Amino acid sequence: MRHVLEFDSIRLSFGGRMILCDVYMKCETGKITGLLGRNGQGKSCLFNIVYGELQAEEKSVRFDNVSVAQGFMRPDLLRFLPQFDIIPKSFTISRVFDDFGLDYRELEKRFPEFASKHRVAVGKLSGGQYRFIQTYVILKAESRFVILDEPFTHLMPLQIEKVIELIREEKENKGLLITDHLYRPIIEIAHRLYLLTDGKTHPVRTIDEMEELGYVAAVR
Amino acid sequence: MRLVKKIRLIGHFYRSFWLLSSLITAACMVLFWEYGFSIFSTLLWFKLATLFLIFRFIKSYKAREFYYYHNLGVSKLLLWGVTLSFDLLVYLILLFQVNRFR
Repeated sequence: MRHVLEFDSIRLSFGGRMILCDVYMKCETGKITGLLGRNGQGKSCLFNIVYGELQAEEKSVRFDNVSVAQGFMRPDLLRFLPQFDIIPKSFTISRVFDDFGLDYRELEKRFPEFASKHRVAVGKLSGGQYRFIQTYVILKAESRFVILDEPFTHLMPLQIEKVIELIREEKENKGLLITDHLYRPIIEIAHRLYLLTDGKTHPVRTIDEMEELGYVAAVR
Repeated sequence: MRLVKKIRLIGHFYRSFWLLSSLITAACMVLFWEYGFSIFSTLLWFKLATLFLIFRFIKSYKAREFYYYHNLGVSKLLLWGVTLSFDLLVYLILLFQVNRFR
């Protein structure tokens, strides 16, 4: 069965400056939705509002047309990887996998660099491995939708490829909403793309459309 | 999520401030042994004030880790509600035990 996450009517301002005012995004299970935008446009704020971590002046977040104000109370519906590290550094990898109900042997089998590291605290891993573990557990854990805020940060090109592979795999089971400054992989894997600029989301399809809205020219 | 896992997560969160809180409780017990019920309300307010300071500190120091707990279905309200209530309950029980043996 197909499930839908939609949000709109979001208004957010800081000190009189309007950050978000005209947002509409739709994310479906089985699909990858990409959100692009330059620094400071409010992408992370938007995701935090959808997740319920940040209070907006107005918002409407709906799962299958049912309003859910605090997404973080429903990990069965939504999980969120912010752009920073969230796993307590003293936790071992096996502990984290146990918390998320995942099988560590599966990770070992697919990614031999983690072989026999189940008792290692995540804080002892390299920055890339630490980020990779976080992305892996959030992606793999059971949920209808997953938001990934800059999942490629701190990753080496080889690790980015692995994450893209995981994202493609997991989209079969859930709906994925992703943003990252590495816009090429996002454009490549996303079924639907939005560009956030001046507090508004614009559905976009081509690089030219992004250029018209002032995005690609800034990073080309 | 299973209750056992939730308790384990809350326990881990409590470990981030239990040592400091226990030292404050121990100091209050010593003072209560010396002066008895005459300073009970002062000690209670002292404990509440230190818990508030701990709350403020952990809230910003561990802000990012709350996302981990949220992704596992454990809200901040549950984390703080259970740990602070437990800490205060232990504090009161210990003070009353001190009073019994004075």
